[in-house]
Amino acid sequence: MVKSFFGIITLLLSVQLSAQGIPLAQPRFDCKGVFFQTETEVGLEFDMDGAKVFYTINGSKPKLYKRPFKINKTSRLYAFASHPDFGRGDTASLTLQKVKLKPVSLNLKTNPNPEYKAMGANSLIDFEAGGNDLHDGKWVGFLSDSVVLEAVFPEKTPLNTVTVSVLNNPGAWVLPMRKISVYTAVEEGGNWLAAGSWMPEVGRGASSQIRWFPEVQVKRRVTRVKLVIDSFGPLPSGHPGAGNPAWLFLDEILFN
Amino acid sequence: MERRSFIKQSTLATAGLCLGATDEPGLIGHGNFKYRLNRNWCKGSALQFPVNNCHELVMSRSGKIFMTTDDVRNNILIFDKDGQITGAWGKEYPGAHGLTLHDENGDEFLYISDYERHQVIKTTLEGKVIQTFEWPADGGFYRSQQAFKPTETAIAPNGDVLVADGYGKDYVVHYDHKGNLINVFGGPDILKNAHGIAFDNRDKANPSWLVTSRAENKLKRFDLTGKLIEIIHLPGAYICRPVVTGEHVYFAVLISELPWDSQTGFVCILDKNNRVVSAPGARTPRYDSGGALKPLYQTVKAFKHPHDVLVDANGDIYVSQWNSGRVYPYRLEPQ
Repeated sequence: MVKSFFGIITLLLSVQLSAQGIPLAQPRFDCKGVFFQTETEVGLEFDMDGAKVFYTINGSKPKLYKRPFKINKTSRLYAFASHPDFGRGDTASLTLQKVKLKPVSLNLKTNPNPEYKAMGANSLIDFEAGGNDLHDGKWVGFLSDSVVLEAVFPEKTPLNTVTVSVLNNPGAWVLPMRKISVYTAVEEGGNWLAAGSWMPEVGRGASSQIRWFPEVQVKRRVTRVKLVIDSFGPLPSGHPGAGNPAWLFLDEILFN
Repeated sequence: MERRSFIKQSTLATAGLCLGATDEPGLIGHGNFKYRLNRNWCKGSALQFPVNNCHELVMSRSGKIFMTTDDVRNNILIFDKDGQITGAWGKEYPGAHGLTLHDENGDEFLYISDYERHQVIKTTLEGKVIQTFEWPADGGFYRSQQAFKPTETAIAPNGDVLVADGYGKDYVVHYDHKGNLINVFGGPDILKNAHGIAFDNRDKANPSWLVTSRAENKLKRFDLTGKLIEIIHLPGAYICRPVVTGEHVYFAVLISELPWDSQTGFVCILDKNNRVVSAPGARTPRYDSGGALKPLYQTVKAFKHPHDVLVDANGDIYVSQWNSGRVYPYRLEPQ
């Protein structure tokens, strides 16, 4: 009985395994300015003899990568490698954000965790994207119920949107926010008026994307802007840290 | 039960079960070191010989392959070169990690580094405990046994035992063969995650210790007194332990980028000048005009988190993996 059981498994798995190859890894984007004001340059790297790299911009047809190219508007890029012996590889993605406005100042009303304070509020308007290392000085990490920031602009600046660049890494107990609420004031000392809010589209679960860019529509003239960001809260059941508070990591606030 | 559902459930239930040969069309590696990956080298059954993380591999004089796993149902698995599991022992090594084999005047012994037991345990090939090496209480380097979490050993020609405390305080602890403390060197100011160590006798006039500083992507060379004499920077390579074979150094690269479970590992081979000549599963190795290695990264997903390599006389490389779906070792076959 045991022998025949293993025999069935052998047959079924060999059928399945024989159809599998080794996939290629993702190509690597090389872009110094993920957040940019006028234009930025993007390169792709995948150093493997015989491999070709293809990329798309905002859903275009795949193009063969030959050399770095420039981007001058907010764009979503995808790229993959292909090799005659390995087929098509995993797809890499990169979102480039054009940023038209930079506040005169940004004030953190909530203290970040001392281990992840980076350069404080300045890290959130420096056009520098955080990397894989949370200690790289570009991520600002919080372990609080909410985070409040206030930005100051020249008087009555037209503001269309506020976008927050936030990390999604459940394995590191880091989850995007539950909600962003934006308030504006048209003058110094004026009352705060609610401008808009954002909540995740699909309940409170996190998608597989590593970086999120939740956006709030404002469409007002502003002198001051206040963001109230509600953290995710306790990690959900099923997570190894269930019940513990999730971390919130931001690397940029984008005003357009 | 529907056939598709049965296949899926059977696949999930038998992770670690490798049956039949599969031809992988592409070769990985570079230069004179290109390989075909054989993921189905092992013929074992996870139902009989379960594994969790597969840590390290050594080969005895008779050609048996010994492997540590932290599954306490069988911490040591023994394979033949055809991938059959011919034996298993060990239920008392919850942190079974490092594994070194030493020929002591014709008798072979294993040295198991167990970071949960905070000890190194010397055994026969059959598993009989001969000796333990305890935490270094003298010298002020450690205040308690729990701070000592050894990951690897290397044995000097005279029988001295060097222990890399890779998960503790990053010291290298030097004992004589009786277990007397001789020296402590390295430490957190010099090593970051001192995960592996090997005796490097390629320069016969200047034998040395090669120690991994994994978090820094570096190998650091120490002379026999424990003085740091060379740093080999290998950006993009989170090196597990160096394995000196002939004129070359082979090692498993757990990941090429954070986080630690990024599944971006590969294998690497250095020549006698400690330059990368092949990186199976990674980009073509290149050096810039200043002699610096261009950062390595995974190009072929041959591995998730390789943890150790074993090179046999034919040049086959056996690769054990950590946190990779409880797979048995793969074999790279030279082409």
